[in-house]
Amino acid sequence: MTQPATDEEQLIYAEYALGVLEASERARVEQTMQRDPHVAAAVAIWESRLAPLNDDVTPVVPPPHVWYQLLDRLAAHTGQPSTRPRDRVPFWRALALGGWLTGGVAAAALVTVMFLPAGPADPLKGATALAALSQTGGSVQWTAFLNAEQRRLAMVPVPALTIAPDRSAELWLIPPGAAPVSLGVLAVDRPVTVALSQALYGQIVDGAVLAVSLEPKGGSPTGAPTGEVLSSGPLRPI
Amino acid sequence: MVSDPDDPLTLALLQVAKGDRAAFESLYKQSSSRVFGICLRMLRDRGQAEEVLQDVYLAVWQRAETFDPTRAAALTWLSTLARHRAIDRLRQHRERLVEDDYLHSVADEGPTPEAQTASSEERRRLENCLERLDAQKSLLVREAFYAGVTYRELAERMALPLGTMKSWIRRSLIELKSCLEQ
Repeated sequence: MTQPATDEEQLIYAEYALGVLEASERARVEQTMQRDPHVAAAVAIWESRLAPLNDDVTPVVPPPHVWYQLLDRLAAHTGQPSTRPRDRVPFWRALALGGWLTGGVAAAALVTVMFLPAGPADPLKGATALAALSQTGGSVQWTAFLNAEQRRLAMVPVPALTIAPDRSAELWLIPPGAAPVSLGVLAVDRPVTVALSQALYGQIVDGAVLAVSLEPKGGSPTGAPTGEVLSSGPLRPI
Repeated sequence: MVSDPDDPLTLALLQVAKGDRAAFESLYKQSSSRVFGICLRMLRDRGQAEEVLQDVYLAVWQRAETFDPTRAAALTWLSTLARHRAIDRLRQHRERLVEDDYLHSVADEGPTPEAQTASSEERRRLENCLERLDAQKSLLVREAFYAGVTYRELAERMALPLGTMKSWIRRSLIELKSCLEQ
């Protein structure tokens, strides 16, 4: 047993938990915590004392791309030599496939489609083709902006677009006379930018149509559209 | 504060410690909005908050076995991890981007009305003890907690001498401890 911490030492644990220490002081406390479980316990008590203040912080749902980037980072981490079981790599891929893109097409699509961190500031800038996606005879739900130079497709929903909370809106590219290819699940409340591989981009030819279908949460389980088509429209060069 | 053994977050975190992948996804779904709220509040920059959020959950996957349910509730453990990651990031990037409109909605100071009514027993106890401090010191403790900045930066922001800032906060922490232990 180490000696009980003095008041002065206790105070530095409180200051650590409150977050007012300089980087070097923080590093010292953390080193001591690793060496001495009593110190770790003393810090934990202070953390618990102050933690209820977190109740006042408004929760904010992170955008979906954060989860997919996290999966990529986990796969990269676990792909490096480590003591962790080797099956971790396939797992993260499988999870990404299972939760997001599924089926035969998806396996190829996973490596070719990537959601980018944020919607574009000005999607029209550099756009080479546009599509207005609407319900048959109905109003526009999404506008698609294709940037040929960057091979990026920005999907901008109209304001106040909603779908059932237990469903996902999945974007499909339908080349003329060919089967739909999944471009991933869209957010309905914010723009999403999709990065297209050369191969996918090559399928965007004259007459190609973009469509959004209503799928089970996380996307079509089969790799092909299974639900009602919410919205569709042809891509037109500008 | 000890974990409730039936708390779904605690159960998920204990499963993650065993390498349970589905539990990890469930934990993220249940807790990421709380963690992201903390990251945004402290960093006041969406891009950095997203990166730190990912850092937090990477650390969760790697260090879940260090979670001790007899020592802290799962949400406290996660929130604390998030706070310290955000503080580390703040120490690296002292200069901040000007907060945008988006952040005004999440950066309100002080407890919100719903937090006052719907919050936990622990939150009410802490609030009672904070209210026993004099108003300015109580404000300093809250500001320090939510901002995650150093004594020096806090003193600059509040236009107080550094020595005064340190002694006021230290005294407040001592008073809080004795009040909470009653």
